[in-house]
Amino acid sequence: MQKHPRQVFSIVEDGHGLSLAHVFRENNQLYIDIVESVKLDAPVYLESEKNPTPETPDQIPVVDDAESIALDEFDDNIKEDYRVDPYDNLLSPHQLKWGVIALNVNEENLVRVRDISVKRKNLRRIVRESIDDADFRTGTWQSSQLRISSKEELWILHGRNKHLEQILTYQSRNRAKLYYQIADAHDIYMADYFKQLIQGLEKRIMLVCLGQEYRKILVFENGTWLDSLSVQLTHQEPEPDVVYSKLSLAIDSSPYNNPDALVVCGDIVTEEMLDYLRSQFDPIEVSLMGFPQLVVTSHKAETYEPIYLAKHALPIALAVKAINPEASYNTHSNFLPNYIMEGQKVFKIAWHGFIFLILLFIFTTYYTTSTLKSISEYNRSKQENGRLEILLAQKRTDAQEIQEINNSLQTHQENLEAIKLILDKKNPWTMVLEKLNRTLRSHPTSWIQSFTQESGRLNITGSTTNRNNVVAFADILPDAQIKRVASSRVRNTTLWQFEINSAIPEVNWAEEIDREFERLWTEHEASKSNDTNQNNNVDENNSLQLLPSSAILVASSDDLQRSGDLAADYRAFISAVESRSPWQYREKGQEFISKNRDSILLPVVRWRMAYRFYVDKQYSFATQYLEPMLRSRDKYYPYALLLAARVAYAQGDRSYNEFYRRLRNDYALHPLSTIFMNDIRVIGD
Amino acid sequence: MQNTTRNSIILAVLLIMVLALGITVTRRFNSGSEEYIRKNQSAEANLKQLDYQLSKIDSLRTQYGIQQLVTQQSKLILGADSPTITYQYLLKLLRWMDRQMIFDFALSEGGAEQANWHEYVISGRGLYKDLLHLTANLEHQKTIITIEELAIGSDTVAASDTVSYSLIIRTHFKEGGMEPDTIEKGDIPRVYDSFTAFKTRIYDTPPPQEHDPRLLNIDNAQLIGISANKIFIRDENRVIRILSLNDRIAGGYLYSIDPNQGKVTFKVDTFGVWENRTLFINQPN
Repeated sequence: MQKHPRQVFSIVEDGHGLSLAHVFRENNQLYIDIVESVKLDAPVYLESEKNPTPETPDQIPVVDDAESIALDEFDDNIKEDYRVDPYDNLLSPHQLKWGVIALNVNEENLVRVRDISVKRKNLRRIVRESIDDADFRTGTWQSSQLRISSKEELWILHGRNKHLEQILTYQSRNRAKLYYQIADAHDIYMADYFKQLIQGLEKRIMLVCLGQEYRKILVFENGTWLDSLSVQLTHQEPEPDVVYSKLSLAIDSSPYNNPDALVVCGDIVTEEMLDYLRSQFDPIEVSLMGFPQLVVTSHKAETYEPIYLAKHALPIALAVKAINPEASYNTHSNFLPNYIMEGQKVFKIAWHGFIFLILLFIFTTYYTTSTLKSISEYNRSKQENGRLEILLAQKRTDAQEIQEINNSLQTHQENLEAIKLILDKKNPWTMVLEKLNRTLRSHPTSWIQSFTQESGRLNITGSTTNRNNVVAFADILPDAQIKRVASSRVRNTTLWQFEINSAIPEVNWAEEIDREFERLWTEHEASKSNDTNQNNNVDENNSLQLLPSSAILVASSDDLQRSGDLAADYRAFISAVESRSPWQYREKGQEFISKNRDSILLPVVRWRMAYRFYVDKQYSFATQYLEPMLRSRDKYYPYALLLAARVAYAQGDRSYNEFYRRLRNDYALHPLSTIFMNDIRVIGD
Repeated sequence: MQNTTRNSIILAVLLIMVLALGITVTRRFNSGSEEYIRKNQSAEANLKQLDYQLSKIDSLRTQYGIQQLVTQQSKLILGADSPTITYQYLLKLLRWMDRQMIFDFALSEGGAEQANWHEYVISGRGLYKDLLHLTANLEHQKTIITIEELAIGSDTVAASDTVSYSLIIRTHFKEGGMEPDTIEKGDIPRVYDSFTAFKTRIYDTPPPQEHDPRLLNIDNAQLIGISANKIFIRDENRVIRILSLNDRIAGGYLYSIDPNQGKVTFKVDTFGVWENRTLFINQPN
C-alpha cells in the first residue's frame, strides 16, 4: 500500500454495474477526473450465469475463399466470441498505470465476527471456525481486524475474489503494470467517507446506499457509525414508492429511532425518487450524498452534477479512501490477497535500516577492497613462489655436487667434532713418557721404577742420585706433589728414592687437528697464490693495502666489561677471525650475531666479519654483514664507511666514490682520515 | 512486523554475512599469502645459500680436497669394531713399527658416549722402547684409540731394559666411519727413545754383564811393569797386555799411572756408579 498515492482508480462492481472513478491529488486538493460505469450482462459473482468475461479465443475459425464470399451469413459462435469485455470497455481508455487501483470485495463473501480481538496465534483457528473448510484449506481468505464504534471486529473475506481476477485478467491480457492499493468492503469505505463528511454533526443520520445490488442503510449517531441495515429491495429498477416502503420497513424494524436526516446515494437514485422520499419522510431531512472536498475538473463540470456523483458514490468514496488510506477517520481494512501485497512491496527502510545499509556499504567496500588486495597479494605470492620454486629446483640441480660435498664435509665435520670430544683429555702418554725420558736424561743419574695411575692421577716412583732432581721432575708434571723422598746408600753413593703424584697432563688434540687442517689449507693457499701472483701482477699494483692494525675495529675494555660473559665469546671470535682457518670465524661470528642481537659488541663483530670476508675476497658477504652498520651514524659509522668504500672499489662498484666523499666531508678529523685520504690518492679519484 | 523492521533485520543479517564472509575470505587469503610469503622467504634464503654455494664451488672443492687429505692424514673414527678387528689392528701396528711384542689381549667391556666404544686390556713384558713406540702409535696413528690407563713397572736388574706393562685401550667407532680394512699407515711424530727412563742405573748386586772378550778383566790381572805413560799387566791367561791412559778395560778404563808409587788406577762401573780400582806393581792376587 502506498501512503500518499497521487492518483487513484477505483473500480467497483455492484451486481450488474461496474463503475470506475479517477481521483487525483494536486497541491493538496483532490480532483475528480473520471466517473463512469458500464452495465454487465450478468453480475460477476452470479455462479449460475454464463461467464461474462470469456477469454480471448485461442483459435479464430479459418474460412476458406468460398466461405469468405458468403460474409453475410450469420454465425452465432463468431459473434459471441468477439463481443467486448466490459472490463476492457471500462478500463482500457484510462492510463491505470499512472495511479493505484482500489476495488471492492463481494458482500456475500464477507463474514463479520463481532466483538472479538484476535491475536495472531488464534487467527487461523477463528477463521477456520468461521468460513468454509474448502476456502480455508485452499487459503483463499483474507482478514482484517477492525475497530468499529469502539468495538473490535474481525472481518473475513473468503472465496474467490472474482472482481480482482477480472482486473488481473485484463492486466495480463494488456500487459499493463498495475499497483493494487486496497480491496475494501462497501460498508467500510462508505462509512469511512461519510464519517468525515458528517464530522462534528450531533445528529442521527442514515446513509441510504441504493446500488445495483448493494442496498443498505448505514446508521450514524453523532458522527459514529453504529450499524448497517439491509434493505430488502430486490427490483433492479424499483419505483420510488417501493423504495420508500422498503426503507421505512428497514428503519422501523431496526432498533434505532427515526433519523434526523437521510442521505441518499447509489445507482438507482433519481431526482424523482429523491423528491418522493422527501415528501414521504418529511420532516426528516432527505438529501443527496455530496462530495464537497472534491473538485470536478473543468471539462467535466457540466456532466458531473450532484445527482450524477451521488449515483457513483461507491467508486468515489472508495477512491477517496484509497488516496489517503492512513487518514485517522479511515478504518484500516484491506482484503487484497497477500501475494498481491507482497508482490508490490517496495524496498523501504527506516533510520536503523539506513545505518545497516551504510554499514553494509562500508564493510562491503572495505572487504571487497581488502579481499581484492588479499587475492592480489595471494596471487602475487603464489606466482612468486612458483617462480622461486622453479629457480630453486634449477639451482638445486646445479648444486647437487655442492650438496654432496657439503654432506661429506658435514659428516667429516661431525666426525671431527666427535673425535675432538673423544680425544678430549685423553692420550697424553707418549707426551708424558717422552718428557720423562728427556728430563731424566738431563738429570743423571735417575730412573723410574713404576708409572701407574690411581684415582685419575699419575703416580711415579723412581730413584736419583741428586735430590734436586726430584723437584725438577715434579716441575714437568701438572699439579705435581712430591709425596716421598727417602735416602739409601749403594756402594758409597747416596740414592734418593722419590714418589711423585700429579694430575695427568692433557694434550690439546682439537688444536692439533685444527693445526693440521690449517697447515694443509695454508699449503693449498700458498700454492694457489703463487699461481695467482704469476698471472695478476698488474692488478696487484693498483690494489689497496690491508688496513693497519690501528684501523682495525676492536671492542673497548669498557664494552667488554659491560658485556659480562659475552666477552669470552667475543674473544673466541676474535681469535677465530685472526686465525688462518677460513671457516672457524664464520661459524663463531654467525653464532655470536644470531644469539646476541642486542649486544653492544655486535657492531664490532659485524665489522670484523666483514673485514675478514673482504680480506678473503668474498665481497658480497662483506657487503651483507656491513650493510646494517651503514644505517646508523654511531661511532662505528666511519669504520663501516671506509670498509664499504673498499669493498665497493674491489667489486668495481662506482658507489665507492660516494662513501669516500662522505668520509672526506664528515670525518676529515677522524683518526681514519689518513687512511682514507691515502686510499683516495691511490684510487686516483 | 513492519517492512522497515524486516528490511533492517535482513540488512543486519546481510551485514553479518558480509562481515563473516569478508573476514573469512580475507583471513583465508591472508593466511594463504602469509604461508606463501613464509615459503618465499625460506626459498629466497635457500636461493641465497645456493647462490653462495654455487659462487664458492671452487672453494668447496678445495675444501673437499683438503678434507680428503685430512681424512688420509689426520685422525679418523672407525665405522665398526670387534675384538678381531682391534687385534688385527694391533698386529698391523706392530708390523708398521717393525717390532715384535708379546702381550696378552682381552676384551674388557663396551659402551657408548660420543661414539660407541669397546675396551680392551693389553698386558705383557718387553722392551721399554717397544712399549714407547706402541703407545705412540696407538695415540698418533689415524685410528681413534684412546689409552685409558697405562701402568709400567721397571723389571729386574738383570733385565733392566725391559718393563712390565698393562694398557687399557678403547676403540671408538661410529656409523659413517672408516672401514677398518681401508686404514693405512699414517706419519706420526718421531718418538724420542734414545734414553730409557725405566732402566735401573745403580744396584747393589751387579747384573751379569757381557764385555768384549778382548778387553782386560782386571779382577784376576797382575801389574808387572810400569812406565811414565804405559803399564804392563798380565791377565788371567798369563798373557801380558800393554795399556796406556784411558785405554778401555772390561767395565771401565785406565784412569791414572803413578810410576813413583808403582800404582795404577782404573775407573770401573760395575754397580752403576764409577769406582776406582787400584793395582800395585807385583801385588800378589
